[in-house]
Amino acid sequence: MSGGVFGAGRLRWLGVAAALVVGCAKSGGVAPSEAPARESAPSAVDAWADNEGDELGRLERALLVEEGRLRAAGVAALGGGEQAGGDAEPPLSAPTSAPAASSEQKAEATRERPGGPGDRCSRICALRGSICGLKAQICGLRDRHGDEPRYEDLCGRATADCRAASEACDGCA
Amino acid sequence: MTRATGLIIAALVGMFLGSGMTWALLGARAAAVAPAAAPGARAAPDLLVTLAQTLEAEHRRVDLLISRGEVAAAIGALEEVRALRWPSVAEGGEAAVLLRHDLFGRLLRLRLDYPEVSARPAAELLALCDQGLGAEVVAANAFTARLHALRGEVLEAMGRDDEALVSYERALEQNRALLQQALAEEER
Repeated sequence: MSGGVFGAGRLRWLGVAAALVVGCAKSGGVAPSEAPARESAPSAVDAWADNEGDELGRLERALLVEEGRLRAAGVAALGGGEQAGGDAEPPLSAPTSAPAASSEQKAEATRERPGGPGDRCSRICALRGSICGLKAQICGLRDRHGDEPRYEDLCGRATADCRAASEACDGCA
Repeated sequence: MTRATGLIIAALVGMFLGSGMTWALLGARAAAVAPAAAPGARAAPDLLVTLAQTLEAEHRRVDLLISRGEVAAAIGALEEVRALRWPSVAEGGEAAVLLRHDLFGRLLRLRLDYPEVSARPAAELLALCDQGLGAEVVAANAFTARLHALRGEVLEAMGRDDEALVSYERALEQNRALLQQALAEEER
């Protein structure tokens, strides 16, 4: 079969063709599982190029990258009704009757969040703030329900907790 | 068979074999990248880290927006993250629940502190508390404690004092446990 399709000369062609296909795939191809997520994020990030040097823009870019990875990892945005806080604002009734924020409360919105890193004394003193704040709220309720023992009891416990936390914080090096 | 025909057939066969080799190589590479076990088994830690990083970046962005007085934007930013499908305990462990409590607590604090910004009825805020808390039982931690306390605030504002007291008590119990843990650290 020297004159067959797979003669020596034709085998060379076959080899060249195979090498070309493999070569193209290796040089121009992408890793199937990781490339889309990793490469799409920077391209979205590039849209923020106008904000270069701006801290907010930098954080937004970082957020975009992480959100992209998050979505790639399977955390998809909810749709429709479950997205209560989405763009579609539901009709609002009267403003919430929650008490208006004091300046101290508003300051809390920018303070370090609970549970954040910190040494032991910082944590104890942060706990004092939380516990004594709760004491104020609980004992405020007690003032309106003075004849109900459960309000009185909890106010007493909260007061003791607040005292213990304060002593621990004050005594902390 | 002419020489030209032979060449064409050889080229086609070459492409076929080359294609097979290509897919074999890509398949081997994919196997090296993709988890060998069930996807959820190895995806969860990565997912959790990514979620934590996202939340951290979001907190910093919110800090910045608040410092600029852009409270509505800060609330909107947190609402966007809230709209994500949060991993369950099975997917992300207890840490995923804590991250959720962290986010919802920050969002509720802002909404309560700035009722004039994108105002919501108290009933909706209560639903937000309950959505954030979920049904999971987690060990004492500052995020869950804060969320219980915020729920108490909302209930108190609604005039539901008995329920508010229960929420405050839960918050107090968690904070007391945390204080005891911190104090115990000194003794060790």
